[in-house]
Amino acid sequence: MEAKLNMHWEERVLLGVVIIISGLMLMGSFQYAPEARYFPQAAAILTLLFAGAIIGAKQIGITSSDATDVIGQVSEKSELETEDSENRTSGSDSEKVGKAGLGEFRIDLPTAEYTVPFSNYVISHRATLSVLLLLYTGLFWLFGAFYSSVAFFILYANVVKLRWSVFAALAVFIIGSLLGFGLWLETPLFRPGHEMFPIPGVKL
Amino acid sequence: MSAVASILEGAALVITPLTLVLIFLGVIVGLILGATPGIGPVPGIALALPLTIGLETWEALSMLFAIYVGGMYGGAVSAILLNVPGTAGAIASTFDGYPFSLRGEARYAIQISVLASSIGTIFSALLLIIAIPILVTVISLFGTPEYALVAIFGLTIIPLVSQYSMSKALLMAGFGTLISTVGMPVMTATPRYTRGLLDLSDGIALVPVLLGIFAIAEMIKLNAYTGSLADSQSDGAQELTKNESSTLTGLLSKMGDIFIRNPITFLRSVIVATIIGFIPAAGGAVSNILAYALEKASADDSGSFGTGDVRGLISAESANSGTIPSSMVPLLAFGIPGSPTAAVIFGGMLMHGLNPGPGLFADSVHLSYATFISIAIGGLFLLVIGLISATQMAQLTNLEMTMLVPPVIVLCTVGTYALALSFVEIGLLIAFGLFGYLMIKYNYSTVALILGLILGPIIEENVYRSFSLGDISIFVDAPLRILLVVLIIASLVLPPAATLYQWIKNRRP
Repeated sequence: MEAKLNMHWEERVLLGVVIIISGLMLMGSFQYAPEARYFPQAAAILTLLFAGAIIGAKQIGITSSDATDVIGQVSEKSELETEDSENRTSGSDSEKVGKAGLGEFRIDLPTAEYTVPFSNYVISHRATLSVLLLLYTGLFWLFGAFYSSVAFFILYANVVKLRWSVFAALAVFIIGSLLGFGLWLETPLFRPGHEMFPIPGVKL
Repeated sequence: MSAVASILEGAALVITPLTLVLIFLGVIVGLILGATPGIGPVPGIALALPLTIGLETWEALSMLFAIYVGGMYGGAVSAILLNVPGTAGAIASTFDGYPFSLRGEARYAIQISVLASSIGTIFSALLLIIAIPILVTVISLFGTPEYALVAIFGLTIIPLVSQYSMSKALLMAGFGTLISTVGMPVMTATPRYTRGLLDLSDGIALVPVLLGIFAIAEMIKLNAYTGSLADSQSDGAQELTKNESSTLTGLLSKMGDIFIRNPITFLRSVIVATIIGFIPAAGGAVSNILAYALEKASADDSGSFGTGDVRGLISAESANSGTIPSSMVPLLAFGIPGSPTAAVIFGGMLMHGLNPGPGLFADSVHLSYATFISIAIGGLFLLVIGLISATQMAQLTNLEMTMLVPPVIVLCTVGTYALALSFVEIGLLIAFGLFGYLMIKYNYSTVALILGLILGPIIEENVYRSFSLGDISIFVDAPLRILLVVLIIASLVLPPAATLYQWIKNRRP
């Protein structure tokens, strides 16, 4: 009978990244002098062992704490809290529907979604922000800090549909911060610095 | 140099007009960040790191300490008003803080928590100022093998003092240690794993990793939630705070509640917190629960705990803030952060040219005094600011989560770029942000990864140097080394043993 890996695809990605990087670093370690290779080898082997232990435990169904945030986990595991929640069941807070429990911070309750333009495809805000972050990185590399930051902010504001007043306040804050970095800390805001994609006629 | 001269030298570093202003501002920033659910002092300090580039070392560090002090207390605001701890260090504050809100005594609870937090911080800092000469003597007993063992212990203790599963915490500690090997090793002149990138020759930079894991990842987490936390909570707490008097009358009576009616509660909690702070990775998240449990266990009328007992609130708040100064001790003495926030401050110290470790602690003892004096001043400012701003802090729970995301992400990204003008570091920031989000979501220890990254080079260098002094028996040829080895083994064996014991106990009819 085939054992099923009881793991969300995101966690598989997380563990996959760790395993691939560890494996590559372990293999790559052999090119270095013996005294420089032992430590990364030991760290890589231990990392792979623990990754194997986690996957093994998931396969045989020994699941450890999953898919809630840190604060929630602490709360779940605290006997004190359990006792105190029991003490308080008669209180008015226990009657509220949809109210966060003691210490709960709703990481497992995505409430916001975004419909991709020109399609009916709906993705969570977290996924949208992840894509925006990758886009931001690319834009930063291409056009430097200023344009990419402004573009990221406008895209984000469009996704979450920020109110006009909030948008204006945040725009002032972000542009002010960028100018602060540029003027006070002499951070180059407009220089991409890679010279890989020169744009004819455009001096950034 | 005498202790008094060192204290004066340390005080001269932090008692300057600009530094005092920065401490004041730092406490306010920390309060705001701590009171905003989901932010807290760790992302707050991470975010402030790039902004301190233009400051002198002790101006910058004092401000970071102040953010820590303000942030640790700020977590109590949402804990008391909304039953949602703003930081992990405020979890026990919800137990007795929120019932006060339900009874219409939110202001009283907030003022008690300000007093307990600020005086807990000051008291713990003063304890450590007195103890520094003893600590220096103890630290001088630590040679290279001991230093290596302490650093290893710093990694193996994580599952024991945190809420993570052992395998997940050790996996991330191992992975952090592994990626710490990128860059120039101490024993050869050939860089490892840099693929020819000069930006990696000094290793994986700590600041982008800290900002990615503690700020970007938190923003991705928060981004799922539209509206403010207060929207979906009981409106009772907020109404109750509005109905209360806005004057500060009765302050002396509240101090009496702490120092006259419950002095043992306060002292016991601060001492517990001071001890917990010495343990790497523990911090306020552990101390507030432990102090609360201890207080409840030692009370004759423990049934009143959880229903709005002032002793519960005093113990939780004085303990989480009391950890702040002591969590700096392992950082200053060994370069091992005593809490996640201390790990971020470690990044700030490196950024400003301080490399904490035994050498710095023993040879520049005035810097340790400067640290504790700065934290104590932060505690003093907290007392004033916290009492004045209780109502304003409550308003932060109405802040919409999505409003925080763009400014934090832009500040992190541009701040990272400002530090090294490196696109590789921008890539690291975003990569660790996404990776950190998955870690938080699936409960993999972020602090273990950071500690692995920080302690990896310390372990490698000191193990290497130890072996140049002798063979493997060098790690067990002195009583202190044996003790450390026993602690390491115990920290690895105890969690699974406890799980096994619980399993056997549960199986019994």
